[in-house]
Amino acid sequence: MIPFQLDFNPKDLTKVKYSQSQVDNNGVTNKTSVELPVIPMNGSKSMLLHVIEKFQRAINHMQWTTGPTLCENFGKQFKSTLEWDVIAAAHANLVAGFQLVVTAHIATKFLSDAWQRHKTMLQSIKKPFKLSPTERSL
Amino acid sequence: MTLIRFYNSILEVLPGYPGAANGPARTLSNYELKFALFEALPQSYQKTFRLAGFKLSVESLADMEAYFEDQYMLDPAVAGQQSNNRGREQRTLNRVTIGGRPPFLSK
Repeated sequence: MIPFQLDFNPKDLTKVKYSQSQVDNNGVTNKTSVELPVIPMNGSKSMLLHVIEKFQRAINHMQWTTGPTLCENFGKQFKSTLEWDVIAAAHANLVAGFQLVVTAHIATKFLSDAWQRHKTMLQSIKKPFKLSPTERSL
Repeated sequence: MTLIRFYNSILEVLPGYPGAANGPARTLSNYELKFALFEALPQSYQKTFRLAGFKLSVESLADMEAYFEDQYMLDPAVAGQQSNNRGREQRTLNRVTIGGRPPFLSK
């Protein structure tokens, strides 16, 4: 079970910056960039989920559409890529493959009924008295 | 992004989702999230929350009343010439006064 208050400060994580520029039909160059956090060695489950959540949003923002790009970039989100490389080796060609890899990786970290447990926790959560509204934001 | 929205979004990736085709929604709906937020508050705060919600409803009701006032209680001859930003006093002056009652109640 993940604690309601995260066990890390997202601002403390080192980040990798991705930039790309595209020229539209009118010849105007649009630059897009995004910074994504890196999971340190022995990073917690919360960190993994935080990075995945950020990465999923970056996929739309940066318009990454191919499996190899997704797998390669996601591998950069790990300080130690050894574990990721082993899992990713089998599925690197399709976007669907990337989702399978992520799912497989998460499955190694969580129990098989994590979804139900987490949903129940979310619905019965109690705000800690000392938790300020700012701390409830990411 | 708030913590509660973050926790809701990660429901999409956690293992153990029971329904592939006809199962429950994968994440909580906005209504369920609001309910969870409300339930997360201590009871003393819940009362304040309810009052705030009630006050908002009352204010909306006041807006609706003003709207109906405009629609049904203005002199039809003048109504077409009215601008949308007139003051409340102006609206009061232009009310139809058939026996002091709104048109749909007169007779």
